[in-house]
Amino acid sequence: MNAQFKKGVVEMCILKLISLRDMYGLEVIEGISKEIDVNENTVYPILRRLTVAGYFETYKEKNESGPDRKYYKVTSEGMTYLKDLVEEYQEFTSRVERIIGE
Amino acid sequence: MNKHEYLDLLEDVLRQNKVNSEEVYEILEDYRELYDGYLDRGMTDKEIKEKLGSPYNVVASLKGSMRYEKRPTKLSEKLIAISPFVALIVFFIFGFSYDLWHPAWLVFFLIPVSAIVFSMKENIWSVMTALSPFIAVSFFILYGHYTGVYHPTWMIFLIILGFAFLTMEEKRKYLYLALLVLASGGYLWIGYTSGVYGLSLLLFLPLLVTLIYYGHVEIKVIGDYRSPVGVVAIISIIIYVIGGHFFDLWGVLWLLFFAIPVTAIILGEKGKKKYISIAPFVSVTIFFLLGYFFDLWEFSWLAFLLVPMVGIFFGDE
Repeated sequence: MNAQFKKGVVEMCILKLISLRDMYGLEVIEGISKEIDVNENTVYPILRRLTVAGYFETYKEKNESGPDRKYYKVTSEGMTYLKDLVEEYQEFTSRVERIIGE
Repeated sequence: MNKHEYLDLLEDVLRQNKVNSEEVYEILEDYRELYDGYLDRGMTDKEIKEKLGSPYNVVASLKGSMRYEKRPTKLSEKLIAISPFVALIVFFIFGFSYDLWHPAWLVFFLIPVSAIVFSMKENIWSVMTALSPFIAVSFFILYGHYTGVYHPTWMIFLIILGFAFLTMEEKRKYLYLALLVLASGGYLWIGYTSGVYGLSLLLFLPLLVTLIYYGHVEIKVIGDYRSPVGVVAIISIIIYVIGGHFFDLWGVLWLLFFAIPVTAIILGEKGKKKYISIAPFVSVTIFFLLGYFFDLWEFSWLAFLLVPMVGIFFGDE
């Protein structure tokens, strides 16, 4: 799969996962990698970029077995962005489906 | 490599790559948390390093997704950057207003000269050695063009050798310099008084023998690219002297000396970069030949466009 296309899809998946519940970095990686082959160096830059863009906000939470964890929470702008991404993706895949399904 | 060593190395590599300080802090924080997360899951340092990749690989894979330090452009860099435009303006003014396309093209030397003057950090003699080919060619062309005396004006090229001696660390450099000055003086004196230059070239023999004796001129043919460069240099000088002496081609055959740096570039540089390095020599040769033989100075300057074109075509990014 085209790397750029994959990054876009991973970005949408990350947003979707965190919209379901707040997560820390490693949880996100494990959640995504159950279905898609990704690594830390793909997920973390997306988390940082989307945080800088204002789609995530972060907060620290105590971790009993080690140092504090940074949790990501989707902002209202992030929710709007996710909605747009999902609509675009569904529109795109339905068109592709029509082409390859023929 | 434990967690601290891994993160210290990661920080070093990020800083070497001039990543923005805020971004470095965030990346380190993320990888610290990630490392701790894997330790929590019972992984060893070795396993974590294998999973994350070496800090060098991490930074390589993050390239393009990081913010980098913005460094203000220095005045010297701005001067180097505008030198091609200044050269072109001056060249056009002299060309269109006074029909001096030749030798006004020499103004393009401003480009490498400004780069050498503003960016070289070495001592004065190293800077002068780098500048000396441009000084020598400019003097040779200007003096030759306006007086018609290309021979023995070509001897100005020996200043390249003189400055190269002065960059040497060893004390014998003054001996080499003295032999060079004496040989040059003797050669000129004999030439001017008797009108015969040919045999007095033998005056340079003591210098050559001394340089060979102390190992500065290597007589090797195989396994060292400097030897072919030396052979090309000797062949160039022989052709130049013969062509100049018998056919009075002093004014054009000096281009042969470009074969020396071009050979060194072809043999010494790897990849496409060599084409970029060779382009200026090819441009000057095309420009000069079209101007010298066909008097096309007002058009042949277009050959210089080859330099940026080759740079764009074979450059990295």
